[in-house]
Amino acid sequence: MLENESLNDLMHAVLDGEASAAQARTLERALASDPAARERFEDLKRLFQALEQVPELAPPAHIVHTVTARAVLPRPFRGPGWGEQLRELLTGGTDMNRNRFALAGVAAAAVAVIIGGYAVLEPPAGNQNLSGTMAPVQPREAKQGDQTIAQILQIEAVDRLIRDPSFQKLAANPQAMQGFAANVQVFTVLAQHPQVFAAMTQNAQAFLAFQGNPQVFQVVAAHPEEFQVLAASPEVFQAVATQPAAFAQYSANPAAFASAAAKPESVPAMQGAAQAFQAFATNQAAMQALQQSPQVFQRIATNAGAFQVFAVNPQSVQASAQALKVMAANASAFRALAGNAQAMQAIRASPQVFAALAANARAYQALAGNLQALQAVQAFADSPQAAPAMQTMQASPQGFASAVQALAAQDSK
Amino acid sequence: MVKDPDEVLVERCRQGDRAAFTALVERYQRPMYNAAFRILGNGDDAADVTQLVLLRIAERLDDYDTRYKFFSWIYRIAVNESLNLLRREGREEPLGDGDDHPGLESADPEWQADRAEVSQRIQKALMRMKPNDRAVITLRHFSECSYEEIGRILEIEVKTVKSRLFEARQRLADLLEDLRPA
Repeated sequence: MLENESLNDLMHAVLDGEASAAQARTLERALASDPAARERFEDLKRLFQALEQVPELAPPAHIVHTVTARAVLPRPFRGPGWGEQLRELLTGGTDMNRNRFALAGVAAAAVAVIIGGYAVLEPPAGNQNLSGTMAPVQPREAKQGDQTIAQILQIEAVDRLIRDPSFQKLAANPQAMQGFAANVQVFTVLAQHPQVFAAMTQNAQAFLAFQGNPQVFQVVAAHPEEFQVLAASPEVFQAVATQPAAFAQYSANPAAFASAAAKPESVPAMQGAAQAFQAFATNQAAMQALQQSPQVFQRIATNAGAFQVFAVNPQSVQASAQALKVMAANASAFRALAGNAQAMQAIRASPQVFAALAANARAYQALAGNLQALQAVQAFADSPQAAPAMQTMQASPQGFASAVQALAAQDSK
Repeated sequence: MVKDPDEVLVERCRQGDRAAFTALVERYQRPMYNAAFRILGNGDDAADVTQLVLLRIAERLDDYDTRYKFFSWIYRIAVNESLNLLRREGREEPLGDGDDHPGLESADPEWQADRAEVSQRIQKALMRMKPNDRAVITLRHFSECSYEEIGRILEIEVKTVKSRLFEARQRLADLLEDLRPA
């Protein structure tokens, strides 16, 4: 027979999944003949079950942004000197044809801008042969970004990039190139995704709004595939890009952007309502509301149905952030309510009522179709007895739904 | 999309790749935050420690020994930072109620209420235990580490892990009995 101490250890090890099959059988036999031990084992199992019920908590949304913005990473690997790479690019090496030589001039121009500041270059616009149009780059020690540039020059994507008409167009825009200088890593990301590049270069203002925020660029770098998905929906992207003010606000909110980029499923929703999205993007107040509440955006982005409704009712975004959270959690109810602008205004004045209602879709839908009922509930919520009553109603969704439906019916008579 | 293993991301970070670092942060901020919360019993402190640890990881990437698992390394930093915070602020003595309980994720209020109640009882009990007991319970039950991994994180032998864990569980069970409603 096992000592009590060994038996206890065995119980823990079995429940931890750290016991061998032989040890588990030993415990089984011991428990079969020892009722007291069996009881102790059951107690321990209950403790494990209680611990398993402890839910995982969501960390605050700002952590990723704060950390990635502030982190100081080791300096990148130092590759071959930029001068050598640039010289090879400009002289064409052994197998470059004339066309490549010309286009390489554009790439080199970009590199020169990045390395040497922006004054050394005035490339002509269009698709001309650009070789020899670059002012001489003064030999000097590159101080920043040189190793990254060396790496960029080595990657295959640059080869594709320099053939890309979009890039040629961009290279003619010193302001746009300034954007790359602020964040060379983005250059690499964009180089690998010509579609993104093309979408961005169609609107210089939008590009400038975007490139002014290196944190957003970091998000792009972290989600190149998702970003490509976004950019692959030209209507949506265009809707954003043609509204520089909206785009600027969007870009100023890396958390919101990260949410969108990380949820490719939100893109088809936007795509299906491109016109609505455009209307939404023109609504500065709506954009500001979203900007103040990245968590809300995150919830909306995960709910395609809600987004569609949201997009056709940009004014609804002006409701309180708390109300928006609830809306996003309940797509069908939101759909019903979002069509009623007056109801939205009433809700805005009383977010706690809205939060209570939104736990029940049927009640919500009933209210959404009846402004008077909503106002009645709102008046009730302001009364002294409201708090316990609301709690009771929330604890009983079915009863709550019936009560609200009855209230709605009564008011509509 | 297949996720890059930690080792690949770490190597890319060492080359200065910010995208790789962002991926690591996204992967570990949640487990870090949860572990810190269980030890500290306070959401704001847990968020501070999570940020601090993730920033420290960026600074100390060169110190990381690739023979060991990355998560063991960062958990060690997180647990040590949490325990240091308690020590610095003289909060080592078990006393708090730990009633700060943020961010449960569910739209179902009933489900949320049940789990929140269990969770709060357990957190209260944890806060009445010594920080080292909390750490070992946290690593096993909330971070799902094996005995061996706990040993590496806390830098103690496996047999010590077992004895500390078994005793901590006994104390937790006793405390939960105390907290049971009459």
